[in-house]
Amino acid sequence: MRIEHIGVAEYIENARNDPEWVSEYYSVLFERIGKVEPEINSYITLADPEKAVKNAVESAKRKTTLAGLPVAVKDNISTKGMKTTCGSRILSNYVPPYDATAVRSIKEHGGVILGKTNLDEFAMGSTTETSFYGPTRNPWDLDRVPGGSSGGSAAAVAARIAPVSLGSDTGGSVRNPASFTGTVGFKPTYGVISRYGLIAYASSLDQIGIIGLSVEDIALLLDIVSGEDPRDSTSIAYPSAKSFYSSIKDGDRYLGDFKAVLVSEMWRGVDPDVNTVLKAVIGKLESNGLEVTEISIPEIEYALPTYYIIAMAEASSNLARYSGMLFGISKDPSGVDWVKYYSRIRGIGFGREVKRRIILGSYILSEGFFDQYYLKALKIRRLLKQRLVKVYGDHGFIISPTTPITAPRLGENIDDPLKLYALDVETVVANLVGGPSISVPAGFAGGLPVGLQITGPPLSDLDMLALAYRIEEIIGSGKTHAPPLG
Amino acid sequence: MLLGGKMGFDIERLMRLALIYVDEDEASRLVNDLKRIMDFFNKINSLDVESVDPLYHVLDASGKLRSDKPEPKDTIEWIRRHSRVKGDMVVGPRTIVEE
Amino acid sequence: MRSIIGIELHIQVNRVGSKLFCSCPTNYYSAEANRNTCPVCLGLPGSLPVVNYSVIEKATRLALALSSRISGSLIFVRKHYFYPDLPKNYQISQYDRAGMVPFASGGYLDIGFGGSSKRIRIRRINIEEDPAKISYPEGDPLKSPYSLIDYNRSGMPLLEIVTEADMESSKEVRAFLEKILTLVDYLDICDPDLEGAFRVDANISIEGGERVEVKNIGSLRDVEKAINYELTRQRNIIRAGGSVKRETRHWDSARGVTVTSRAKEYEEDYRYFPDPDLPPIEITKEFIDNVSSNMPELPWVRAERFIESYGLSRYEANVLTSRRWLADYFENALKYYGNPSKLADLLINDFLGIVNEHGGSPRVVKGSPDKVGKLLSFLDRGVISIKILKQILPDVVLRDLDPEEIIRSRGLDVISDRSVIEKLVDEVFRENPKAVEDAKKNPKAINFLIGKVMAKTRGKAHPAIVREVVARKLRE
Repeated sequence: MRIEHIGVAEYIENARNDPEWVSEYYSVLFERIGKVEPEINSYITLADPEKAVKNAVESAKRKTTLAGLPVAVKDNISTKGMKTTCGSRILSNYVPPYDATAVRSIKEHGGVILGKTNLDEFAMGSTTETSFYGPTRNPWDLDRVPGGSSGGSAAAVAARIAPVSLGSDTGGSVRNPASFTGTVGFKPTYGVISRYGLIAYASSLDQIGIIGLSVEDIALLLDIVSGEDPRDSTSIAYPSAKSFYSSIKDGDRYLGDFKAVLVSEMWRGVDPDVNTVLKAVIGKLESNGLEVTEISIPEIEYALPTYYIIAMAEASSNLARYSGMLFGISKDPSGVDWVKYYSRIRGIGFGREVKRRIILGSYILSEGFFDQYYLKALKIRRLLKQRLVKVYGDHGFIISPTTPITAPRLGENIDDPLKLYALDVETVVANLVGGPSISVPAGFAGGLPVGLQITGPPLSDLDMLALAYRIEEIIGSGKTHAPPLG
Repeated sequence: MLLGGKMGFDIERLMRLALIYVDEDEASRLVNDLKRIMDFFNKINSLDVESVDPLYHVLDASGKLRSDKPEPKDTIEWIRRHSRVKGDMVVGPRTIVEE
Repeated sequence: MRSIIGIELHIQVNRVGSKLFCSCPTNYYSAEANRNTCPVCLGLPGSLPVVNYSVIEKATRLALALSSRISGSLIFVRKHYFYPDLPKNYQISQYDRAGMVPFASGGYLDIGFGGSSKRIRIRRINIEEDPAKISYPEGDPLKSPYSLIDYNRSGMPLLEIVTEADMESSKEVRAFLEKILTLVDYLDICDPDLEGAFRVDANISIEGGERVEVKNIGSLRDVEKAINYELTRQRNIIRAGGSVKRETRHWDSARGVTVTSRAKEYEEDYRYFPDPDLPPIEITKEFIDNVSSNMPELPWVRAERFIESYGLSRYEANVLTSRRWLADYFENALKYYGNPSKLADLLINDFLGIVNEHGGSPRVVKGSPDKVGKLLSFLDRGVISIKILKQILPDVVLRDLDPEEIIRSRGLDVISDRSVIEKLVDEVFRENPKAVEDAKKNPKAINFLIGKVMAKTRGKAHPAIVREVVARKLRE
């Protein structure tokens, strides 16, 4: 059996027809993990193979919706009884006593948690190099980063050592690595997938997302993990009578039914090769009936600093709880006062980038700076939302590069925070506005994948997936190209 | 260690505010990074949004209320396995701070 | 030297089923350490708070009773400070600043004091979560090498009531607190007699001087003591020509003194911001109207009613309405015994004495009000003497024994109480002067008088005692 081209849809079909096939699939999958994973380092923790197969086969026999589908889960999403580290030393021994709602949904529908994937520490980064567990490598070029922060989730799917994965996206953390690894990465509207159990980085921006090989696969899993959750006050019920999967499969939607717009500011500073690949794709879409216009939104230049101010402020609050008391690494506190004890544990437990963001976030929220930075950023956030919702209404989805460049080499950006932050320039807008955004593979530049990003207003998820599905039909899906591994 | 300049950082105070200890080598590098990031943040000063209200929650949806139904959960086994305990109490540091 | 006192009172909402942001039960008092917790109140990574509807309802009741203005939007904020009892190292609370708003502001409570009434203004009411409980292996934090945390209390709902600095003595503060505690009891918000039900911080100054905050006062007795101690301390400083330093002090209950919280160079910066996990909840007029129309009778209204309807004194009415269960008990007993004045007297002087001897909690009261009513009817009918009533009362109140049962099983139904018999004999002697004269001459005629006494008790008086008393009285 070759599993390179088996996505969610193909898995479920085979597994439901023949539970015996499931054990064969799993043995090939684990064999491939054994071969490929040491080079990629996409997992922090792997499920016990025997238990996973047993669960999967049983689940397939019971004809559950997911029929034992293995799902890789980013290691900042809580899994009961399975270590959840956030890629941090401070949580290196943390085993949650509960499942995140999304994980619970997957299990309840007969899915199997295959493992916990590598990430930038606490999802703070865009390259998966800030992980305490070492960097993940890009399956297309092992000297390059897979993007981040959901680098492990994207690399595992790209390397075909997971058919699909959950990531989290605070400022592009699902779409950026999807773009760098030639996979599809989707961040829904804020609230569509419950955040309960997602370990917070910046609560008002965080959203669980899905990385897969095709739009169809994304929609299939989205139907499982979306939905209003009584445990998350910010979660919402997506207002649609039809499932995401059956909606995108609706044969009545044509490319010509959609409108798209290019925002000139989002094409500034884009690598010329990336630009060439994407413009060619857009030309092809236009010739297939997509209406494309071009406008300028000068305020978008403020999105990146605005995003980082809000994210760091919230992060400083969310990460206050890591202090070596009830969970995570600790030392014998005897004879040590709490100021010293907390300072030391946090000094040892957090990596450099996380410290930077917590300290700066605390500073931004403190007396005298709150109005000047935090409150002002929130005002710009409203302004941007108003501007963009108007643009979406008038011109349709915004189409842009997902990242201004292809995957950089390991170590290229890590020492310069500003260079690192610049990787998020295209993606943060969706998180600030709260709307959905997706990155689909659009081709290659210099042998490295290039992603095309579609961004829309809140609750346009269904239409966006339908558009992405039509685009995929025209330019081909990630499923067709596998990196030369193993 | 108070660093001068227009965007001076009192690193001692920042360490206390965030309760993160950084040694001297790391501190000087950190201060340098913080200055650069703050310069980047200062870009927002050039935009006038005086008349705009801050956006605290991205969706307009109202919050949720939970009905008052108690559901006992006992996490003591988990606490025993994962925390430092003495007689089922979690052990913490001293609360008296030596100056 | 006029003293100026304002207080911040934290009332624990222990009369709801579950905690403020999670479904853990609120009746943790009897639970063993760390048995009453979940990922939310332990602050575990990834957990999220969801607001308990009942707490909002009860906070609305309090705001209405104090005539406070309820904000149209319920906004929770994060208050940041690190401390070992705070699992998230921030407390979900409320605040007054751009984008944030207290649950309710303004309002007042009138306290009766020294025969007149005084208005204490309320500044604001906030809803917030209680931290965990911290204790020390050596008792004293100074001597203990580490702290011990019990998270059972973590996440309990608190109502913070902040007053204006309108009070001038520890007595006024106590009167205010007693009235508020009675109020929250009536509103079914808080059982004020439970451990940790309230905590007080007091801002104390002498006119013209700096303000000192005294934190951590946990009982009514300590409130008076702490304020008096602090006022004396400040007056002595001023008399000695010094000036009071603005500072925070802690009440050391064991030693009965306020002590300075060690001079801290670091001043806490709480970095308040709206909690992104909790979108604002609209508090509609319909909701408030609905709560308003379902308000329980307020204690001061009930006290007036007791005076008017039952002819009680103000003192009696105030004592009986000081707790809702007691006032209910009184009114329920009245259904079985028609003399409010005698009933009030018994409840205040004897019944409460028994309850207080056993800790003061209504939970020790097992006997139903009808039984207490029955006892008083027995007394009125001369079945038992007041002495015997007082002797039986504890068994009725604490053990729910039936008065009739007790009287029968202990032979108390036979009237053997000499004082009762003496009274009856006197009565019979008064009513039958001729028979008395006869009996003095003819010893056989004594039987007539004995028969009269027995008839009066429907045969329940002890015959030998009656004979003895009658004979003695005849000799006198």
